[in-house]
Amino acid sequence: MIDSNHLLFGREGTLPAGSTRMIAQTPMFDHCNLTLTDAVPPDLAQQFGDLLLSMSYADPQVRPLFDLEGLTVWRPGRTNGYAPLETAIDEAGFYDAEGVITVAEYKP
Amino acid sequence: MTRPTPLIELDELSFERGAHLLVQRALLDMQPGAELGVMGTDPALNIHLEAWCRTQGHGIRLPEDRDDPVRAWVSRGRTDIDRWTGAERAGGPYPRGIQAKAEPHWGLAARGALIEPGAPDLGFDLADRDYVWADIAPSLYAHAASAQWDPETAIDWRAEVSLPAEIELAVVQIMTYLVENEQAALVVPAKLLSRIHPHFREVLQLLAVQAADEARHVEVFTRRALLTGGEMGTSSVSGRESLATLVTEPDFSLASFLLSVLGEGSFLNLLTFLDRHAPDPITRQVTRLARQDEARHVAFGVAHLQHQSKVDPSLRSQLRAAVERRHQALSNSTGLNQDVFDALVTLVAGEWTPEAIGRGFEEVQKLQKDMDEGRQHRLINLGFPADEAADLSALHTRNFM
Ligand SMILES: [Fe+2]
Ligand SMILES: [Fe+2]
Repeated sequence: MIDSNHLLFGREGTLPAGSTRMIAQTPMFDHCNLTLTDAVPPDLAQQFGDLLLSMSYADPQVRPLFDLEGLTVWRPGRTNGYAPLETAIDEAGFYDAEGVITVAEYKP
Repeated sequence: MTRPTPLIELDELSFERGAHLLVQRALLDMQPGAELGVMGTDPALNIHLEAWCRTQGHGIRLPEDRDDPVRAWVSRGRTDIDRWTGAERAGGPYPRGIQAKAEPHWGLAARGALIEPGAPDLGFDLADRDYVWADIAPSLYAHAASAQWDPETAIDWRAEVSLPAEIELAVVQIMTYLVENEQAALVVPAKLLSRIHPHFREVLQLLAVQAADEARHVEVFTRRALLTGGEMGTSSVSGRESLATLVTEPDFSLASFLLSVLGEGSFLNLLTFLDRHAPDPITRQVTRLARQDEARHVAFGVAHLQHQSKVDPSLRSQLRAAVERRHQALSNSTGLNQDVFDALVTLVAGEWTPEAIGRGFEEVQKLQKDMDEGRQHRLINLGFPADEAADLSALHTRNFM
């Protein structure tokens, strides 16, 4: 579970406040990343990235969009921090070698 | 010079139970980048604090020393400042704080509220003070709100009503006509008020109460019509044609002029007439109560147009054109439902003798003259010269409303 969900569940009462105990915590990782495939022309990808990075929370036109996503700023992409998550998923066998979900009854 | 390091003690209070309020308050007066030490004993404090800081745009740093009583350092972000930079007050809460132009993005915000920039335009197209406002609106609204009466108790519905059948039929016909006209008078302000920018809230409030007044008039006239168990009377094409020109007038000032100044103005005379000639106490009570409300509707119509004519010298020629246009549109219409005219005569006559009918006819003619004089008087109040007022009054619909 990610920290902001734990806080949300506690506030809304989905998990009664204080009823759960954190026994372990991974290092920080970015829970959301905007990923482009290599089919996108690099100059377009660059321009798109620059546009996102130029969005400012001080701009009343884009602020509602930030608020919708719960963001205050875009940052350059990073994938560090995913290793423990990747290991855990591999160990649990959640995906097979082709990246297909192995658990039959799993519904995202 | 060193400032004392700001610290906040949360004790056992968790972020699941409102701890953010204390942290937020402590950060409020700090400069962006300054650090606040957060202390507390909730085991999940750091995890929740970190999640909260991320959504609020604050930074977070853990102390190097594990025994530090400070659990985390929050470095103040600036998203709250960014949100309110460029914010403006939507005028002031009192009528003196009303602005000449209400901004579309103020939307439904309270007048005088601090407005975060942005948000959609709700399309209130009547947003100019000079176009919608009248200084009398707040006091008329207060008066209107205090003068609301309960149809159930304000009228003695159990009073004895036993009229000769044809007199009863005349009353029913008049009530049927009144209901039709009251429904026009309900729809017109309701349509207009939904277009007025809420910045001019006293005007909306006044029109809302006006619509509520008409709702009661519809009720009590219907109830009187059905009191003796009969059917409703007739509705003529000409009456509905006349009202259609009111309901479809898109211009606020012109609609208010045609409805309130000319139409409801004429109804003041009609309701006075019905009060005087009412053959039973219930007819008298319903028309008298409705008349009190109508006087307010007329007063606002006149005051609003007086205010506007001060700032717009072309207003009178527009009003004149509206009357002429409506007259033209109704040129092939016969005007008042003949059944209504006959019912008014019958009501006054009270019996079927030539002498009584002749008297009734004279009284209805006198009513029309009174209406004409009333209209001319109000037109002169709006600044029309007497001869022009007489011309325009003569062009008013024969349907009265
Ligand atoms: Fe009315
Ligand atoms: Fe009215």
